Amino acid sequence: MVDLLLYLTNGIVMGTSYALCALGVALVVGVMRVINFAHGEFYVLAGYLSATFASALHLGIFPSIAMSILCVFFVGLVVERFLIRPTYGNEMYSLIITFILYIIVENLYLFIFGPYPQKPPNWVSGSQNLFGLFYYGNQRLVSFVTAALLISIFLVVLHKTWLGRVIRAVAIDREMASLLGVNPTRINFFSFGLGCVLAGAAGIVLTPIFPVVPTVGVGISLTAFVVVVLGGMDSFLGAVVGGLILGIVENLGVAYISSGYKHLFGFVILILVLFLKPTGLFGHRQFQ
Amino acid sequence: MLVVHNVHLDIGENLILKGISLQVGKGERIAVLGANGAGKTSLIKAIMGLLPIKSGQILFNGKKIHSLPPYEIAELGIACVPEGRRVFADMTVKDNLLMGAYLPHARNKIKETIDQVLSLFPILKERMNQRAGTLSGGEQQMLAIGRAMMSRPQLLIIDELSLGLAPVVVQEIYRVISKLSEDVSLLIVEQNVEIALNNTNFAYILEVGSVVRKGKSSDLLRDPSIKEAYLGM
Repeated sequence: MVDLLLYLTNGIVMGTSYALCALGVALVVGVMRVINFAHGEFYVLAGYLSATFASALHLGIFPSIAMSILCVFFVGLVVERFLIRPTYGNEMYSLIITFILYIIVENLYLFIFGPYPQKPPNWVSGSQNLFGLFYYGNQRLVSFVTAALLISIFLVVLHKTWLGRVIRAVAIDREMASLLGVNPTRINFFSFGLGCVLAGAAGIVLTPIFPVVPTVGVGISLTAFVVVVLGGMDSFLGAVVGGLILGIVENLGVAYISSGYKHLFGFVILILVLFLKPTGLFGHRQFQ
Repeated sequence: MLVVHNVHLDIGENLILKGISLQVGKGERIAVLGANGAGKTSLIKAIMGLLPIKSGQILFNGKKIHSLPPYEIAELGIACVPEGRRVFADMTVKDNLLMGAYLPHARNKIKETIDQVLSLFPILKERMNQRAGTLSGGEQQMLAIGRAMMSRPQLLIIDELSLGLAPVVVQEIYRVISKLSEDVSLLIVEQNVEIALNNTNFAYILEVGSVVRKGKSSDLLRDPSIKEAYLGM
């Protein structure tokens, strides 16, 4: 019973970060119909940058986080402008180009940062006794709260502000949005940058717990894709619920079956859901 | 105000518009009529910048608009209710209306405009927080017109206004449209010839990409050949 609670807690903590990262995929897929294979590389970039800014430049934890996020946003905008924009209208090209980007960037990380794990400093130290049953690291709790807060802010922005309203409108019907005066190219540009920031934010909250190595990016991307398909491609709420489900299932599976199959559990759930509801849990549309 | 001059347009191998000319003056109510495949919707798409034209000119208040993207054409003061209504189904009625006021000049007067639109279509007031996809076809058409009015346009274009709607609903929508202020010019595309002629001042009849008749709506309504061809009398 104590074990189960611990695994569930782990699952929720991890799942929240999965959700944060997957929201970025949901945003980019929803607005642009682009599958960004290099999504996880922005997670890795944020991890390395926040570690480097803190250790090499001796910046405080929070200034290095802010600078990392800003850099990730800027890199995302550059990628959109020069790699994605020329592929508009052909989803196959953008898929191939982001796949190539992922390979190049992964090797660049290896070249620049080396093969050994790096981690930014913890924000807090110590641990808490949860439910009077087990001790749980404070950093994990703080990371969880931060991720949950960021998700809430994102959802509020999406549903209560002009920016969010325009993003949703473009995601539903970009031609109609353009008839109302929206410049869809500008929304693409910004959405892609924001999608990268969401991956970066997941990197910021998770890398103090799980140090980065150059190769984690592809796993992060795949996890995010699974979450988005699970929740429904056109649903942001689906990405949040899907992330939580995947986090919990993975942790229970690892605990009770085997850690060797960690990534398998997600795919089993994915196949089951797609079999029963092809649009994903919260989706309405099937993408071609 | 809107001048379409000798516009040719093709899609692939097919010539869709073969030298169409029409005009909409300030405060006028104009109908564009014709059967399926006459090129009505392509004409609207060309005006809104969704289809490139091959030759000819489209001017709005003297400015050439035929090479502008749709969002710049919208900014000049043309609003469009496209065929099929195209409301944002997953968004609330309120968010749909607000999206109509996206442009800066409309956003400044949002409260005033939304009150006007809701007084034209009171049913939308009761539906404000409902998802637009859950509305009936007629309500969706009202929402689409309301959304277009939210941009405070000089010219409102409505494509296939009565398509797929019950006759009572069509009557109701035309009744509301007839109450619209004279500041808004109207270009209505219709298959329903009788009701369109009854509610406009001037009409153009299209057949396979050309204007075959034009004239005052009241004259066309009395014309025996029109009666025979389009009204089945």
